[in-house]
Amino acid sequence: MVFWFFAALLTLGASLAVLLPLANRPKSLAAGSSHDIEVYRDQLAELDRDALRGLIRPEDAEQAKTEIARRIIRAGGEEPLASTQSWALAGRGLGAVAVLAVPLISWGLYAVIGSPDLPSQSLQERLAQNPSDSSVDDLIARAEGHLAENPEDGRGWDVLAPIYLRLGRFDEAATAYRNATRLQGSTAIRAAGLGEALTNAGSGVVSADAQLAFEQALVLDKDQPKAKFYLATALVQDGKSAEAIKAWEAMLTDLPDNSPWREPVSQALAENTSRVTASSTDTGTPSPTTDNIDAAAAMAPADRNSMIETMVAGLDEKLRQNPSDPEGWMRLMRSYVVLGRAGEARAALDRGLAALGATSDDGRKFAEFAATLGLSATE
Amino acid sequence: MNRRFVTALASLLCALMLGHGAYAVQPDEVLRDPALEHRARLLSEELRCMVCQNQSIDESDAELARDLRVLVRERLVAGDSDSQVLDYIVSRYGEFVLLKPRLNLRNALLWGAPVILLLCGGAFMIGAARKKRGSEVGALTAEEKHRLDAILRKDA
Amino acid sequence: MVEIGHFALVLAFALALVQSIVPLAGARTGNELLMAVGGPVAIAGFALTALSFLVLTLAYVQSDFSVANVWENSHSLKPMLFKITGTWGNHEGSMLLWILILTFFGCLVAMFGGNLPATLRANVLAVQGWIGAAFFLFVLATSNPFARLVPAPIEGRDLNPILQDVGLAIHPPLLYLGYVGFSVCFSFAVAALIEGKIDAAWARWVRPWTLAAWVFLTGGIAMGSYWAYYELGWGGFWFWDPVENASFMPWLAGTALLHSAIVMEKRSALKIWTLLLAILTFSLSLLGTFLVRSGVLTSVHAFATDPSRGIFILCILILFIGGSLALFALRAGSLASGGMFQPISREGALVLNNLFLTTATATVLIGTLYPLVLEAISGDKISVGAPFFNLTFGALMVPLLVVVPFGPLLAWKRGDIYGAAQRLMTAFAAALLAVLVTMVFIDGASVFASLGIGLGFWLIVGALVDLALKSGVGNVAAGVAFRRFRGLPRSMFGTALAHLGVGLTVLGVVGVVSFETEKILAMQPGETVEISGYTLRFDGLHPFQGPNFTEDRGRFELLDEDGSVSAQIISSKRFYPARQMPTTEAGIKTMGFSQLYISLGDETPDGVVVRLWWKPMVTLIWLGALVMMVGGTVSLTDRRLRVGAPSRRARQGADKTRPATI
Repeated sequence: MVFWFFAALLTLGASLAVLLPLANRPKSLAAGSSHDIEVYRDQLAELDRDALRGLIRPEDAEQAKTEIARRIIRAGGEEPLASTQSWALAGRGLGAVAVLAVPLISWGLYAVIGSPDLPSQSLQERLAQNPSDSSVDDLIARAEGHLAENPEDGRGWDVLAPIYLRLGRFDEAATAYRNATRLQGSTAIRAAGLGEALTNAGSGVVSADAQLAFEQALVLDKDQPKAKFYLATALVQDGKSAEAIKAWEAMLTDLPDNSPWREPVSQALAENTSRVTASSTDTGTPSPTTDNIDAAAAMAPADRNSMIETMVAGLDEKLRQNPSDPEGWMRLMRSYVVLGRAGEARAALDRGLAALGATSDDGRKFAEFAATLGLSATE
Repeated sequence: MNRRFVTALASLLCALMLGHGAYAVQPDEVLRDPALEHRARLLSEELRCMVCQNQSIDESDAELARDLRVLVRERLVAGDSDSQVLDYIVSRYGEFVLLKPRLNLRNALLWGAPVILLLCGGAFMIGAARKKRGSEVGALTAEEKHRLDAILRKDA
Repeated sequence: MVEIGHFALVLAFALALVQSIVPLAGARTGNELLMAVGGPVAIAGFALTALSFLVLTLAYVQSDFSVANVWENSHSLKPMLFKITGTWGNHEGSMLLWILILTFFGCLVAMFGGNLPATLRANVLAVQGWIGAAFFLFVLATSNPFARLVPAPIEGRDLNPILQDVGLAIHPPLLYLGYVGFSVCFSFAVAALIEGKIDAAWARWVRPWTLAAWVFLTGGIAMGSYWAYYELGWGGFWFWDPVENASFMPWLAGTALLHSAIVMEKRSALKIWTLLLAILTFSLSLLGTFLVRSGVLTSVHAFATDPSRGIFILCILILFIGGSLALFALRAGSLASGGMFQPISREGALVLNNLFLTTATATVLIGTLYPLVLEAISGDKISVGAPFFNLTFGALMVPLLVVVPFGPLLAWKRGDIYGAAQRLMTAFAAALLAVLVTMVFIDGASVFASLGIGLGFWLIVGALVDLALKSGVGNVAAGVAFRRFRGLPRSMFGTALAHLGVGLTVLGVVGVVSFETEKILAMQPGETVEISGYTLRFDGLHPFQGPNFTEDRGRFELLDEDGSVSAQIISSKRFYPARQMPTTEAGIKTMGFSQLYISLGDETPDGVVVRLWWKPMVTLIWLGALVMMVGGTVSLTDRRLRVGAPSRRARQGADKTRPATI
C-alpha cells in the first residue's frame, strides 16, 4: 500500500513538472540578438583592457573592434523570434501527449519489469523477526551476526557447529567446533564432531588431525559411537579391513537397538565384508588397500613403485605425528623390508621402540615381529 | 563455462598475482653483469606477458613471463644482440609478444597515422593562414557607425 | 523502499523521453510554452534519479540481499564506508551513477541556464534528454540495479579486498563527473548545429562546462594513477592500459577544446573546429564507456560471446557519434567564420596546441583500437603497449611543451615571436641551468634526461615569468606591480597555474623515469641494504592480525649515518581469508618530493625477497595534476565567463567600461 501511495505521489510530481510550464502564460522572449550584443559589448571592453596591458597592439585592437562592430550591426538587424501561429494547435496537442505519456510510460514499463509486492528486506530487520517465523538460513545468519560481534561466546559456537555440519559447511563446522572446545572445554561430542567435520572437509578421508580428534573423543567417552565408527573407517583406509570389520561388528553388539548408528555401521560392514571376500586378500597383509593394489596392478612398474613409495612415505609421516601406533610401526617396518630398504627398516624399528617404549607390551610385541623379519634393534 | 567467463577468470588471476607478493624479476634471475642485466630489463619491458592483459614480462609474475625473462637473459649471455634476442623470441612466440609492433605493411597505418595527421593538419593550418592573410578589414563607414550607435544605445 | 527506487528510475526514463522531444519541438516551432517544459522536467528527472540512487545506496547500507546487485557485490561484514562506495563499485551501480551525473548536469543547465537564449537552452536540454533516455533504456533493459531475488539469500558474495580502498572509491565519481561533464559541451554543440547558428556567447557558455569537466577528469585520472602506484605494488604510475587510455583520450581532446574555445570566445574564430572538438570529446567519453563496459578489451571474442550490453552501448555510440557528425557535415558549412589573425599570434599558438593535442588523441585512439580492429578483420593478433605509446606520444608532446610558454606571451591577432623569446630569457636561462646542473651533478644522467628536467623548469619558470611580465615587474615600481598583479583577471592566473602544473608533472615523470633506482634481493632479518644513499635495515617479518585479514609485516628501519634509526617503514603482505586473497601493502616513505618504495615478495631459503625503489620527485606527478586542477578552478571563477546575459546589472557594468572610441 505504502508503495502505491509513494508511486502515485512521484508520478503526480513528475506530471506536474511537465504540466505547470505548459499552463503558464507565454512570456515575451528577449530578442534573439540581445544576448549576442551583450557579449560583443563585453568583447569591446575587454579589447580595451587587453590593449592597455599590451596583450594586443593598438592597431590590431582597432581592427578587432571593427570586426566586432560589423557583427553587432549584423546582429542588430535580426528580427526578434516570433511564435508561429500555425503550430500553436499542434504544440498544445504535443503538450497534452507529453503530460499523459509520463504516467502511461512509467506505469506501463514498471508493470512489466518491477516487483511492486516485494518488500525491502534489510538484513537487520530480517534478523529481528520472531525466530519462529524465520527460515534456517535466517537463524544461521542471526547466529553468525551474533558471533561476529561476540566471538568469545562458546555456547553460540557449540550450537552452530552441528548445524554447519548438517548443512555441509564442513570448514566452518570445524572452526566452530574448535572455538567451542577452546571456550567451553573438550567433550567427547565436540571432539567427535570436529573429527567428522575434518573428515568430511577432506572428502571422506580420515586425516591425522581427524584421527587425533576421534581418539580424544574415545578418551573422554569410550563408547562414543561416532568416533568408533570413523576410527574403523580409518582402519579400512590403512588397509586393515579385517580389523575394521571386527570393530564394526563389536559396535553392532554394543549399540542400543534404537541407535541411529546401527544403520551406517551395518552398511559399512556389508560393503567391506563383500570387498574383502571378493579380493580374498590376506587380511593381515599391510597396506596398500585392496583398491590401491588393483590400481597398482594396472600400472606401469615405474608408476607402481612411485605409488607405493608415496604411500609408505605417507605412513612414515603419519607415524611421526602420531607415534603411539604399534600396528603402524609394524606395517612401516615391513614395507621397508619388502622394498629392500633395510637401513630404513632398522631405523623404523628403532624409532618405533623409542616411541612405544622397549619394555612395554606393545614394544615387546613389536620387537618380536621384527625378529621374524630378521631384524633386531641396534641396541 | 563460457569463454568470456574464462577470460575474466584469467585476468582476475593475473590481477591476483599482481596483488601477491612475488613480483616480476626475482633475485635469482638477475644477471651478474650489470650492463647485461640492464639490457635484459629494457628488453623485458618491450615483451608482453602472453597470459596477462597488457603487462610486460618485466612487470608480470606469471610462470610464462618468468620463462621468457630467463630466456631473454640466456640469449644475452650467449652473446646475442638486442635485436637478435627479439627476433628469436618473435620466431618462437609470434609478433603478439612485442609491445611495440614492428614497422611493416600491416602496421603501416598504426605508425603512419600520427605523422600523416600532423602533416595534414599542419598543411591545412598554413593553407588557412595564407588564405586569410590578404583580407584586411576596412574601417567602418559613416553609415555603419551610425547604425552601430543606434543599436548600442537602443539596447543599453 | 527498494521498489520506490526502481519506480523512480522508470519515471525518470519517462521524463527523459519528454525532455528529448517537447523542448526541441518548441524550439523548432517557436512555441515558448513547449520550450519552457525542458527546465522543470530536467530538474525533476535529476531529483528522481537521485532518489533512485539513494535507495540503491540504502539497500547497500542495510545489506538488502533481496536486491540481486547488492547480493552480488556486497557482504554484511564489509565496513560501512565500503558498503556505501560499493554502490558504484560494480557495473549496474556505476551506470546508475553515470546517469545520475548526467541528469545532474542537465539540472544545472536548467537552473543556471537562465541567461541562455530560450531556443538554445531548449535544444541543449533536449540533446541532454536524448543521451539520458538512451542510457536509462540501457540500464533498464540490460543492467537493472534493482533486479530482485526471491527468496533473498542470507549473505552477500563479495568482500573483494582489492576494491576496499578509499582511492578507488572516489576515483569513479570524479572520472564520471569529467566524462559526463563533456556531455554538456556536446549538447551545446549539437544544439548549435540544430539551430544552424552559433551565438556569439556560445563559447562563453561552453567554456565553464568544459573547464569543470576537465578539472574533474584531471582529478579522476590522477587519482586512478596514484591508486595503481601504491596498490599494485611495483610503483608504476601509468601503464597505457586501454582502460587508462579510455579516460586519457577525452582528457586530451578536452584540453584541446579548452584552448580552442578561448579563441572562439575572444575572436569568434575557429567556430567549426571548436564545435567538432566538443562533439569528439564527448564521443571519446562514450567510447571509453563502451570499451570499459562491453568487455571488448579483453578480447574481441569475449565481446562476441556475451554481447547484449556491448551491442547496446555500441548502438548508442553509433547513434550519437554518427548522428552528431552527420549533422555536423550537414550544417557546418553554414556557420559564419570569425575574426582574422596572423599565424604568429596568440590565436596561432592555440591552433598549434590543438594540432598537437588532437594528433596525440588520435595516436592514443589508434594505438588502443588498432589491435582490436586488426584482430577482427584479419585474425592477426598484435600488441600495442607502453613502448609504442611512450615513443609516439612523447614525440608529439615534446614540441608542444616547448612552445607552451610562448603562447600566453604572444599578442592577439599579430604576435612578435622575437619579443616573446626575449621576454622568456629568464625561463630559458633557468632551464639551461637545470640541464647543466643535472648533467654535472647527477651520475649517469643522460642527455635526454637532463633535457627533460630542463623542459620541466622551462614550463614552470615560463608560467611565472608570464605572470610577472603581465603585472609589469621590472618596468614599474614594486607597489604598482603588486597592485597590477592583484588586478590581473582570474583566467590569467588559471592559465599560469595550469601550465605550471604541467611543468611539475613533467619534472616528476622525467625524474622517476630517468633517475629511479631499483634493488631486488633476498634479505634476512638484520641485514642492511643501501639504495641511493639511504641505508635500510630489515628487521624481519612480524605476523599481525587485522580486523578481516592476517598480515606479515616487514619492518624496515631507515638508518642515519651514525647508525641510529631515523624512520620506520612497514611493507606488508596481507591475506584475506574470506576471499582467500592475498594483497600487498607497499611501504612508502616520502622524503621531500621523492619516495622510498618497498614491496615484499616470497620467502625463499635465502630470506624474504625485497624490492626497493628510490623514486625521485615522483610525487610531483600528482602534485602537478593538483595544481592544474587549481588552475582550472581559478579560471572558472573569472567574471568573463558569466557575461552573456542581457541582464540589467551586466549592462550597467558594460556601460562603465564601454569604449568611447567607436
